[in-house]
Amino acid sequence: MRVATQTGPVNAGAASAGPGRFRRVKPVMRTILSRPSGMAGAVLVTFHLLLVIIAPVIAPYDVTQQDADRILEAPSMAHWMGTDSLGRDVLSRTMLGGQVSILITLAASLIAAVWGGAVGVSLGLVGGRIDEVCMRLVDAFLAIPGLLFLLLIVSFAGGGVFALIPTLSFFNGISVVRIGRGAAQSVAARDFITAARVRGHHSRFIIFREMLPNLQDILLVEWAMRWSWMMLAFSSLSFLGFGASPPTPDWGLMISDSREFLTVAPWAGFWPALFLSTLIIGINLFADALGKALYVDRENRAPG
Amino acid sequence: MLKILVRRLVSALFTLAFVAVVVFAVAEALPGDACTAYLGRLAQGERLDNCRASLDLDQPAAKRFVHWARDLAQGDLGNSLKRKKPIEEIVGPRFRNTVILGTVAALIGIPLAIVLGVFAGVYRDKIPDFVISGVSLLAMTIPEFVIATLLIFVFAISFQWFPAVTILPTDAGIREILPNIVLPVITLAFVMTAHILRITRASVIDAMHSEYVKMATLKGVPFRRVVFRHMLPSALLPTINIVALTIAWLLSGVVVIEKVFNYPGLGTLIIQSIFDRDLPLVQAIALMFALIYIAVNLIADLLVILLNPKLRSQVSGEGG
Amino acid sequence: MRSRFTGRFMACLLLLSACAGLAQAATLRLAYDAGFGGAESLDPYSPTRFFFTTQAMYNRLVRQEDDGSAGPDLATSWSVSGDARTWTFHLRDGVRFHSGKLLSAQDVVYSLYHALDPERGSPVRSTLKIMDRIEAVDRLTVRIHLKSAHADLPLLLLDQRCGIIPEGSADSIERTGDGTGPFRLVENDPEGVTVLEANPGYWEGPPGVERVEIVAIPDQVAQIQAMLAGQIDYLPSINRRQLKLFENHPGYIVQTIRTGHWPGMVMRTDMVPFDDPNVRRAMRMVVDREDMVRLVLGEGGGEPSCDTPVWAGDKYHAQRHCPQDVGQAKALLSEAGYPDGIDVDLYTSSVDKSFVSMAEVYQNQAASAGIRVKIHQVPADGYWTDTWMQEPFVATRWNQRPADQILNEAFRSGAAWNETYWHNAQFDRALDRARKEVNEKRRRELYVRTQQLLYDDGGALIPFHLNVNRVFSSKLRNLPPETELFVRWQYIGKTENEE
Repeated sequence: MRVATQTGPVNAGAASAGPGRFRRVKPVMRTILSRPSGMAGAVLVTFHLLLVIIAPVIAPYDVTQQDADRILEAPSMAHWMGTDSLGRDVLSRTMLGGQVSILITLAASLIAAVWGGAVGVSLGLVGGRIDEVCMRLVDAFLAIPGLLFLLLIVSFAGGGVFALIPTLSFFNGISVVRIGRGAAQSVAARDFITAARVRGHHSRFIIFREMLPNLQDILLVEWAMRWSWMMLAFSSLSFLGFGASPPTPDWGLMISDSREFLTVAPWAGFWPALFLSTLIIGINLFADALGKALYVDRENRAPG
Repeated sequence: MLKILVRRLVSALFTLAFVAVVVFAVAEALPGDACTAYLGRLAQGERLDNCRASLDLDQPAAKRFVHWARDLAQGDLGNSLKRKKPIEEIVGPRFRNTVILGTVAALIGIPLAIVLGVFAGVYRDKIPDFVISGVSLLAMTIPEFVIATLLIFVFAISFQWFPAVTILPTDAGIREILPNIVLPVITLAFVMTAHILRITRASVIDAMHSEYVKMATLKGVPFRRVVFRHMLPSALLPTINIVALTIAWLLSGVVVIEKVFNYPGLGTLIIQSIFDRDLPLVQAIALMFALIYIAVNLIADLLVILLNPKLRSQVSGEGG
Repeated sequence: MRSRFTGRFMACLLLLSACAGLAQAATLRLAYDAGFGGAESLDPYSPTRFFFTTQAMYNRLVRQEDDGSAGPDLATSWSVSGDARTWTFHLRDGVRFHSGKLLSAQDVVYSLYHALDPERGSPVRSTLKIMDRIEAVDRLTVRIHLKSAHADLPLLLLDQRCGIIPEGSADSIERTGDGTGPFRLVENDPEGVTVLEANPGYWEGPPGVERVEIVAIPDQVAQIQAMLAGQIDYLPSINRRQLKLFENHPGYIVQTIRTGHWPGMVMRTDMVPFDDPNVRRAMRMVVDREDMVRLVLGEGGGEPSCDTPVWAGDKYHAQRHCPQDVGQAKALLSEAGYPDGIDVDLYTSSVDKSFVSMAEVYQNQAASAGIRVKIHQVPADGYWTDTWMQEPFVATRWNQRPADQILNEAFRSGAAWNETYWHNAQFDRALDRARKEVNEKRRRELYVRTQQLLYDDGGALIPFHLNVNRVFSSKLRNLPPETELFVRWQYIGKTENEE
């Protein structure tokens, strides 16, 4: 292993050469898949994303169909993963249990990465007084307990779980602003940017041709990481009763509902817990591998 | 040094004031008001008017904010709607309990994380690293409520070694609390260790590649000496702030752990007060969480200043 | 509790194997949900009275007998004048409060005036308001003069709030809990662990356990887990599904208890189309109540009701059968001018867990008679202000109340919570007469008649009354399956592990 270059947040040599952003996808994917952990992450994430699409078609039962005669039944040929406390099929519910959370967190993490990244990069490039004031604001916003606001907004504002998207993306975006700003500053200070300036390129050219590819990498890894944290946050919300509402199948909710029946029907909680955990582990492994493939360091910083 | 200290304190106060404004504004922007939310079926006629009058809800928002902020500055958080008691009385013991839970978990988690993190970093990509990193990945990705539920199932219900839920008098002393919170502490410490461990490990790896460590190795300084004398101090110091941020972030997630274990802290209180629609109490708890966040970061700042001789003389630091 | 886990934990450390059954003095541990969040008051009349403690620390003048009637407690006997307006109660001699003070008629007079004090805002005040004057005739005789006749005053005094407190204690009782009951206060900590101890001088003899600890566990699942982990002995309420955890388990006893709580769907009789009695009858007739119980609550989760709010445990309950009758419902609808069926909007909310499933089952059943129900699920917030008593057809719920009380509060013309806006002069007259009727048999006939009027003409669809399930450790003895509100804590005993 010779990845001794991991020190800085960005390695200039990695990407600046290629003008087309898609030309890099193949080698990056190859690097990711060459590591066992990257491979595992990619497989897990792909599995779950595929499941979101095909589960409605292949799920053997209607996820809301209750059966009073089959409450908390052990796994059988009819119900491979058993039934839950309302006699619903655990297999079908587990297969569909990621839908709501995956869609919401994907949307929210993308929005967060985009707005946070845009604002952060702009601040980093503009600098000066505006930057200073805005960063003060960002620091102050970080002190606000985001989870608490999620709870407040879900329970008071109505609008169901989709009301979570703006709140989730706002609070996560705040953290992305810092990342984007730091990245923009350090990229701006790099030799190849200075070289471009010396060569007399337009600042627009510098930003779009030289800097963006680098920042893109950082934000891409940041997005993947945000996604996994949001999955955790969303499942916690569901678990607390503030996320997806019954009878929607949702892993967090299913685990919460099955918790009391653990002694008599462990399967009702085991499967959703396994699916939820494998997805989050998958995203994490993938994000790690992505970071390594793009030479973006993601370990040496705080979450939140 | 004193100058930095004052600056940090001032900015902490500024942050707290900012959080107060935002919290008030959000509560204001929510549909309905504290009285309709709280009274529910009874929010009609005289009862509603009385409730509103008692909370000054008939006054304009700006005026109420000034009142609230003035009381707040004097340490008066107002009265809980549902509990009909001063909020300080309700929040006080809860705040203390959450701090106890967090502190005990941190006292276990931080040293453990540093030891394991250094170990994993030094033996990078060898078996110990794989095991430690693997377990920590699991701890970071498996939701806390799953870990907590498993612990309850195994150690409380099956073996009955530890209590499943926390049953404590409100004024319980710390010696009484400790044996009751074994499982919640394990859960929180587990997650905390994993996060800090990753930071430590990465930092150690960075330091291992730094010039002076290479130099020292080349000079023939024994490996152990290199690690303890040269690498560790420089590897750990920069992580203090990040560790603090991580801990602060985890503490807002303590809601889930408290709920699972019925722990009488701020987390369970916030859920109840939101269910009760007790807005004044919700606002107060939001401020408490912000306070914890700010305090943890402030402590980290001070630690960095104290431990770093260079910073002690240097004045300005960067805002970010 | 303070020392229990400390002790157990230490013992575990010392001797891992022996920690399963450490003997303790017999302590009964109950979980409750801390529903008032620490505002719990030891004053039994308070709107936020601390239910379990007030049950264990006070006596009422009367107590509930198994047939639902009032039997002697602090009062040994009573009599009523011919016009049902003057009642005389004779008190038990030699009863002492926990503070040592001897019970006298003055205390009873004081307690009842305390209940009537508008400043205290006791929920029982509206029931007892018919009391005009209360006097102590001698040391052990109390006379109550009523404003209007009421032949069932003892039933009103059965209200779980009517504990007797010592004279002059109005301002201190919420902290002292100085009653005459089987347990006395050691530590009041409604959000933590409240401790009571046996009252050695209790007039029925010392209670069966030495200590009672009332433990605040707001979360339902945490309550279950505490029960499974052996941290508590008694859970007042678990749902049907949770039964599975404790049924057929030697460590636990499960009981199903009938109650008078009910959810229902109510039509405003002053609004189209429910101003037509035929429509109302048809709407109620299409319900298969047995099926609804099964689907909404699960087998045994409730007792079907024929639109009477008076539950089967009440001695004035009117027995009847009301099978689903789709043909008759269709006929009534076409008579009312809806030969092709009718469209109605049903408003419900998640404020109560059973509302939504009840509405769905109703929608299903009503379709057979051409009643097309559109369900509107509105936010829980503001349901009781913006929807209930506003929209023409809504879900509702009521807690258990004695017949006279529920009929008056929810169905009498002009009552504040007359949610069906029903005006029926016959019904009002029958209620008035029932109160004056001293002859018990004739009184019962009158109450049965009011329920018949409700069935024929009313706007409330009351499909069932709820059952509750409770679970307790099989170490507990003498806990008969009575109603949930009147557990006799003094008789409960506990066998401790010998080991």
